[in-house]
Amino acid sequence: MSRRKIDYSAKIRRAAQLLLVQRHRKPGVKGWELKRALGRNYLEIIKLLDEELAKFGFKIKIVFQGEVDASKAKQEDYDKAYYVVTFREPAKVSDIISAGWRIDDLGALAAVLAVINSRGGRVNRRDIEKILGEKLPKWRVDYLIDKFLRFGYLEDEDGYLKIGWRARVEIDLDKLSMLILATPIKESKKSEFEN
Amino acid sequence: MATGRRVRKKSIVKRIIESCRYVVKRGSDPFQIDVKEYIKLLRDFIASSSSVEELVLDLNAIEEISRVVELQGEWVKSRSTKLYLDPLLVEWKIRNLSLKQLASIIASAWYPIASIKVFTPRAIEEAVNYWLNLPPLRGRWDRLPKPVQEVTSSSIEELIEEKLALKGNFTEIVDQFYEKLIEYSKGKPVLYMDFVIDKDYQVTLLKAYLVSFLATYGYIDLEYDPKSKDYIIVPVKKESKEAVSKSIVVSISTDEWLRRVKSG
Repeated sequence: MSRRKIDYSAKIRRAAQLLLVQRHRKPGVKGWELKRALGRNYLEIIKLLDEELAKFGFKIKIVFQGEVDASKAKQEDYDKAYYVVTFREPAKVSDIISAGWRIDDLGALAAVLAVINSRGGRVNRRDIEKILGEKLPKWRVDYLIDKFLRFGYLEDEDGYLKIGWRARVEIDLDKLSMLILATPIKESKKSEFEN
Repeated sequence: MATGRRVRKKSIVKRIIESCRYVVKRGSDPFQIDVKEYIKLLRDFIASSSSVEELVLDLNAIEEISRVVELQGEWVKSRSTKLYLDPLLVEWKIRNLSLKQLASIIASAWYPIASIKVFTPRAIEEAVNYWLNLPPLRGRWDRLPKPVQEVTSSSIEELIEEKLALKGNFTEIVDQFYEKLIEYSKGKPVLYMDFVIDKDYQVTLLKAYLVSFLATYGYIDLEYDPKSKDYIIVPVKKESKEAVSKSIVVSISTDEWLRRVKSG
């Protein structure tokens, strides 16, 4: 095996450790951290690791800081970006539920994120409480919003709710809104999930 | 310019500022603001502005309008480059879908983060050190304060003597205090500190305490006088109970009390 090949495989292993083992409060690492550990060509290593992870159903997601078009991103944007390993395909409802989520928590999260996304990314907390209050009791609405804030799915800015870092990483927001619009409405009992 | 016209102009400029701020803060549709109309109004006003105050107000209005124009630009950019979805349609669909349907929808767009939480050698070392340095439970219990052996009781007279309780019915005390206030002020407004400060610090505190009750019950109003930098007690009729609820903090430290007593 050539020296260059050995060097690359060692760096891929190092990159996998950096990305998969949680080192900070938030999972994932920043571009500059990868640059420091893997060298200037870290993006090549990341691409190779992504190909390896694809075999196991994972992918490396690059979340740029601010509104950056991925096709026009510069080296500086990649250095500031946030890298995290996610599932390559969407999760199954049963998998999410076995991870500790209730089905009505998931429904509420879908509603909150779709509303915020459609309204330009910032909505008054009271408006969200009103929408959720049509399907859930008040105490549960407050509990769920606080839970979403705590988990990073939402951010609070002076009483206005914004999409949080975790939602930007884990959820395809445009797909979510499109699916909501495309789903036919069924007659359902309101009390079905109120337990 | 006539005073009436000036007042009208001022209120229009203030309304322009407020409506612009409202749109920027709420993130609602910035095209609700008729920028052209606002600019036209401001152009007329700026020409007739003479005082510094009026010019500052006009400048504030222009600044707020420029923020709305910036927001309009962002909206156009966002809607032309991203997938635009009508918020009303999205909300209508959400209202009509069950939580179970919404849950299965979000699962189809959910790509969970994969990460592993591990114990690092350093964390293990810290944990071992903590455990080794932890004193035995018996030793830690010894540090707790010893329970009070004897419990004694005091009569109300003793508490009054030690100035830990007031003598008499509290409502009567408040009523008598109100009468004293009316006698002192002769029904006219008086400065809070003039009335409350006494040669005895404890009496001063008691008076401040009772004044707060009179204000709560609506027997008096407290108004701030910027000239004397003090509150004014305005006695009102006892029957008047319709008061707007508000909180006022007045500090009466020993230093402040001493300064006032010395200055007479």
